[in-house]
Amino acid sequence: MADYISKLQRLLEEDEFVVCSEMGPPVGADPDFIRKKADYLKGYVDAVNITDNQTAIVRMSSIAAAKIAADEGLEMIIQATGRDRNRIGIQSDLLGASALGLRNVLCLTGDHQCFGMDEGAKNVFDLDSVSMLKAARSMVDEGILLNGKEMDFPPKLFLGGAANPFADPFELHLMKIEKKVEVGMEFIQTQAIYNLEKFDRWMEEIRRRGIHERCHIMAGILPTKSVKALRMMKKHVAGMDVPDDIIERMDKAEDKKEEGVRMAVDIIEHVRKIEGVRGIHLMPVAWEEITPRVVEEAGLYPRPEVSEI
Amino acid sequence: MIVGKLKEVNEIKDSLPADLESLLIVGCGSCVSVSLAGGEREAESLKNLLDFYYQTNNQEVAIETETIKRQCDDEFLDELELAMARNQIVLSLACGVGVQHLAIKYPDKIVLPGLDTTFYGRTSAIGEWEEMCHGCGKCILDQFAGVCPVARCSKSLLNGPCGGSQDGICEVDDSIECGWQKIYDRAEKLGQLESLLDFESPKDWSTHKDGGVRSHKDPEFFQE
Amino acid sequence: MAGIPEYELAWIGDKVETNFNDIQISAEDLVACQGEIGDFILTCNDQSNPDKIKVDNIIINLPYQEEAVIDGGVSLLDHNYNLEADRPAIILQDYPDLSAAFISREGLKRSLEIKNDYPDKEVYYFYQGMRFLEDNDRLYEEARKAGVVFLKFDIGQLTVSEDLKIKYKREDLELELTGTMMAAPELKATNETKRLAKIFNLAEGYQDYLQLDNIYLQPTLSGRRGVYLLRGSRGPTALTYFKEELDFTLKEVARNLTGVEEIDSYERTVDDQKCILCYTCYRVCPHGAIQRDAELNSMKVMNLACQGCNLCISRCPTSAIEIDYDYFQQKDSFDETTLIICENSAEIAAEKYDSMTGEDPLSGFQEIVVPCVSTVERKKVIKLLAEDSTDIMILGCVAEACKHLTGHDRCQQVVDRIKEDLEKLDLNQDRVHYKRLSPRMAKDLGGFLADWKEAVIQ
Repeated sequence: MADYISKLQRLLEEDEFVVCSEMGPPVGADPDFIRKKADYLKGYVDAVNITDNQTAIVRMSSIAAAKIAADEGLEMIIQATGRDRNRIGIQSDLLGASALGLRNVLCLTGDHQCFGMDEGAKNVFDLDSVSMLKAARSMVDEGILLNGKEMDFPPKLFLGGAANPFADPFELHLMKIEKKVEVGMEFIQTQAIYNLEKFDRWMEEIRRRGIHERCHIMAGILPTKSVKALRMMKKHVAGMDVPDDIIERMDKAEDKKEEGVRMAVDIIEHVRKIEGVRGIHLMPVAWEEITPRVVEEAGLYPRPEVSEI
Repeated sequence: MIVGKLKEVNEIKDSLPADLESLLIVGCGSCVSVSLAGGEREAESLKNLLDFYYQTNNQEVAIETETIKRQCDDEFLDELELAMARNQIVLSLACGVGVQHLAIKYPDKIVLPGLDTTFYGRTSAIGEWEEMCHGCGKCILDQFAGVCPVARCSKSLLNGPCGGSQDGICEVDDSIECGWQKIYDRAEKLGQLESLLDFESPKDWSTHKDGGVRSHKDPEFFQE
Repeated sequence: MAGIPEYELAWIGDKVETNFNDIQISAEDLVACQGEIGDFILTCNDQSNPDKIKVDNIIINLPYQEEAVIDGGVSLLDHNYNLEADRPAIILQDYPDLSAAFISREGLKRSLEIKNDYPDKEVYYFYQGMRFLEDNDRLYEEARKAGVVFLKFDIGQLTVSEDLKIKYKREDLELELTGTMMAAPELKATNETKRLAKIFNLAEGYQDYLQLDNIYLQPTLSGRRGVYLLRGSRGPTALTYFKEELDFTLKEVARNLTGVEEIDSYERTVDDQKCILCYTCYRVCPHGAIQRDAELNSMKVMNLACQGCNLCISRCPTSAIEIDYDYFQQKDSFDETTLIICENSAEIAAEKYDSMTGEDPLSGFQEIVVPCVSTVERKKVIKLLAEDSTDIMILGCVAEACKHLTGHDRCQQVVDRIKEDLEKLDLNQDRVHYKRLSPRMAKDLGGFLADWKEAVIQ
């Protein structure tokens, strides 16, 4: 039997169609905030992302929040960004995360600080997402730090990264994905999908390059009940593709909540059939409580039991 | 060259002491003149404007201006000796280098900056300058088809682009072009795309100021 | 320069037969142009022309670029055409936008030509506007008598499908046609424009042509003295008046050869100790009158090319360019409001008003006459505000009348900056005024100044 690093890895390697979700930590120090969220996700998802000062907004750190949620029984995926910490800080965090039993990490470059409320902050970006993945890979596989020093007890981490099927131009962004896979990225979570046609084409290219065989790809799904949110994403979020007919569909719907669930389920059903897609990553912005329902209606409940690694 | 922008005149005025009696404005005839900021023309305009201000506010202030070729070399600063003797407060329109060199050369004078120094840049069009270099101390332009990822990517990524690069535009602002798009386009044109696929190790920032404040001695003048 | 060939005129592009000692150079072979009228040095890159040539005058005479407005069919300007048997001939102009004026004549001649050769052939002529220049009206009558069907399509809907089928629909008529399609091409500036603009240091005009849209400029003048523009370098109207414009230009060249004078008696020199070769003056000069002096390693003003606007002096960051005259010394009293007026608009308008009414609209004001309001320097205006307690009014030219092309805008920037700085220091920014007018606005000028005198001066 293979030696798995995390439950998530085990599920993916054993060909389960995985369900991940996402949690944003509080702008504050209350651990119960996390516990409450963990509560309604239990049993409905295989692993939960915990964001790391996303869009440069100060929140409880990803590792701390992940530990609190992990103690409630959830499989957690921490996020590490290059914006706020240098190579020393990041490696240190990865060691700490592993020590706390947190085994999955998403390595990201990080949004620029101009998106948050601390625009005057100095940014770091000592490591980009590719360097971070490579450094983590060496720590895990060879037990050495970036500076070459050997560690007595290497961390155990399952490494992932983000990808955007809708960023243009195509070739420029695919070059980056290739690099990440090359240095040892093991799973990908994509940007939220609304444009199924474009996603299909991206997956074709991914398959042509064989990336789907070297890396587990999870399709990003963003269930929403707000036309305003869809319009905002279309207009203001760089790299998001929201086709007009999706907006129209939501606009015409009488019960927006129902329509939102139905739309998410439709997208899930579509991506599930695509060769190379090994799971979904639910990101219900400002609607996290809908996760259990979406999972149910997509026919993905109950989730498989996984014994401790 | 070093690019700078003149400070707002009210900011300059506010930095001058309330009991000001005389002021020397020193312009610089090199980089800042090329970036149309702190040269003789700006020095004289500023003098006339401050004269008008103090006159209107019934304050007698004697303002003189001198513009020298550069403020970063001793011999040019020597030309200011007489004017400096007449003034305690000096407003330098040079870049940060010139202001400080002036302060070093005349330690008893209060030297104030009239310019916001911004970046090392090129003239991209008349009246327009673009940031090109960060003085990182170890030039890697040969590896990136002649486009610097440190200075021209808003995040200084060596393995770019980031997810926010969309249609050649940086996520920070619509007016900023994505440096990595430029690297990619040039590499493609020059047939160097293959090498871009190679992983680029994290930068050794110790050659930058991160390694400590820098100085540099030419061995032809300094023997060990 | 000893030993280089000298010519009176250089044609860049197509040459026309003249009595001048002239030479033809193709646009691709031209590499650089130094010097000024009467003394241009052209550098060429071609075997059939020597490396460097000295010329007195330059005419840029290049054809237009023709761009087909529909895929397929024949260009109306192409004299080699084959008519399909048993099918109508279709002439199309003004599609999708109005064609150049001369196209009507070409179209009418073509329609008559076809009717002459094939009297039984159906000929349809689609247009939005027929231009009745020269004797086009006669041709039009003849064509109608010969049976050409004229259809105006600015009313109604005209579509041309991919297979060249024309569909024309309006309230009273619906038509579908296929035949030999002869469409007027869209005319664009010669494709050498950007390169030539750089070589001659000319600003690009409207629609990529080399002449700015400006009523001051006679048809073929560029901003640079001694450099003339015809056809594809100038603009589509040049095709209509080509003969007239060519004649005018050749007359100018002949006159230049008898002697060219400096624009004014002032000397503009560049202090080579202050000049830092930032090239700002070179880039802003609307007349290409500034050049780098190789020996002194500074810029220099070419006195015959210089048109005296003083824009370079206003823009130089090191105050390196000097003129041996202070325009502001024209002000000798500090009781009257200062009026800085441009000699190309306000001064002319004032004289007109005077001759119309017998009243000098400028009396009671302190006049400072300048060759262009780009002469107005920020530091001088501020000094005047400090020394004087009255207002300062600057009168410049509207865009279409500005002899120096960009001077009127430059002054606006200077005035805006002065007002901004005054506001930042809580000083009264309402004492500086800037208005633009044309030399024809005599009545407006008179009325406006009279009102203002009452309101401001008391």
